[in-house]
Amino acid sequence: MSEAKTELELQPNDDFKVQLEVFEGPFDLLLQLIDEEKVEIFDVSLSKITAAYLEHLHKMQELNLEISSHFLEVAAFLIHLKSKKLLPEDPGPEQDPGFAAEKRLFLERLIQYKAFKNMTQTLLQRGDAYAHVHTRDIINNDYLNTLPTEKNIVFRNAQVELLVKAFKRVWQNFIVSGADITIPLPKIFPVREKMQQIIERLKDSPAALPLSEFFQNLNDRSEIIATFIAMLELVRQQFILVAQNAIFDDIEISARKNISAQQVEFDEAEYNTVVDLTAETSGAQKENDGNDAQ
Amino acid sequence: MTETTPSNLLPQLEILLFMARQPLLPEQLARYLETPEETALQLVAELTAKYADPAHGLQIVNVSDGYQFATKPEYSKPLELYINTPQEFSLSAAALETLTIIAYRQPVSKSAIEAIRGINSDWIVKSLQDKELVEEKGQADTVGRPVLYGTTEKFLRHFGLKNLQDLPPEPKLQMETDQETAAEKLQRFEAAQTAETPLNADPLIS
Repeated sequence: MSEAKTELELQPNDDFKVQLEVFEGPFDLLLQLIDEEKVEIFDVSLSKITAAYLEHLHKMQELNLEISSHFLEVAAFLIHLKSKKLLPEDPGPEQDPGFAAEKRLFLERLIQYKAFKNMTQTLLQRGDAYAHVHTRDIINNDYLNTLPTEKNIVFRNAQVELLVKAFKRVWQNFIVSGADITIPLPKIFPVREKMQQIIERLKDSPAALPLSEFFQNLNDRSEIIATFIAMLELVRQQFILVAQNAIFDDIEISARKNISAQQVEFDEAEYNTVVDLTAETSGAQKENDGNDAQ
Repeated sequence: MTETTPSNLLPQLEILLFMARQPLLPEQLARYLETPEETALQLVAELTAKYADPAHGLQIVNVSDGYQFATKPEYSKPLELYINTPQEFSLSAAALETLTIIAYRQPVSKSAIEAIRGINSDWIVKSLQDKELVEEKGQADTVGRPVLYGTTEKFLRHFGLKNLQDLPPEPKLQMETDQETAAEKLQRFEAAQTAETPLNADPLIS
């Protein structure tokens, strides 16, 4: 599950906001872009539209949205049109008839799609007008005395914002009712402590220690991360030396001379947020570990 | 039981339409009323006019080529509460779009739908089939014999359509319109390109 983590960031004071509209397809997106330019299909500037189109694809990419090949196909065609444009005009009297046909076909497809979009609206209005006209078969249908089936459950306007709002409401009720909610927080390993542990261990050892040694027997994710951050921090503050004799060799760690664990400094607060992010999974892991022990 | 006399026909028709769970076709009405189809249709018109009166909660509607009683939408709310029916289905924008294409282009293959929408539509067509709005209507005679899709009777009833001819008229799709030829449109398109931003300001080149 953690692999599927979205890139959307939730800022504390930011209401959850989805910035990208979902388009039904490349033509849908193109028409929207043309609409934004406030021009008709035939008066559109390819340069502007192509740039806007590609920009949108980039945004989709940033959000890790799956971009279907159909979007890329249209992108390729737009660039193709543009590349033709960059070449010097054919001096001969004959223009490339294939290219003209291509353009025409493309415009035709756009027009056709737009027409269907308009018709969809008409049809929808028709359906809405008829929505409250019922016939006898409504009684006979499996609505009565049946559990909802997939066919008749409707999540109207189900949107993420609504979920967030609903959650806020529930949360408010909890707070107002003064219910005692204790959420078990996973233990977060203090990085500073880890740094001191590492140094003490290194000072006790006559020779340099392999990096892997420090991660052995660690099965708590937040502890592993704390160890790793401690390691980086120690390198940054020049408490330890790191050496690797050959590529893919184990990295060896040694302490610098004349240092003591008490000299270590670390701003815990800055790093806790990072460690927090991993807490969810490590919490579940610990539970499993506990069960195993029993 | 009374005879089928002209004066009895109207109440008899009322019973038929009231009790039937499906729209009744003109030829069915004619058969059950034992009267010519023409007379049956006249009776339907008469009854329709009678029920148009606001004193009645029911109306006679003409859907999928037949006639049946239906509620008037302005009075339907208590019934909806009684039945506790959800809106039978609300369709996503993509589903509606696909349904429109199928409705106007039927019988139509998936690849033809995809050509119009510019995106794969397999899943959407499947979900429309599950909702019984769309069904297979045979196979095309072309290479690969692709399955052709069309709308169902349920589709007509949902949108309150008499038949497919009753669909809202399709606007002219072609490049050619009365005002402008295709060539002129392409010229307009070319002209729009010459007024573009200078090359060095082009995001595609930098």
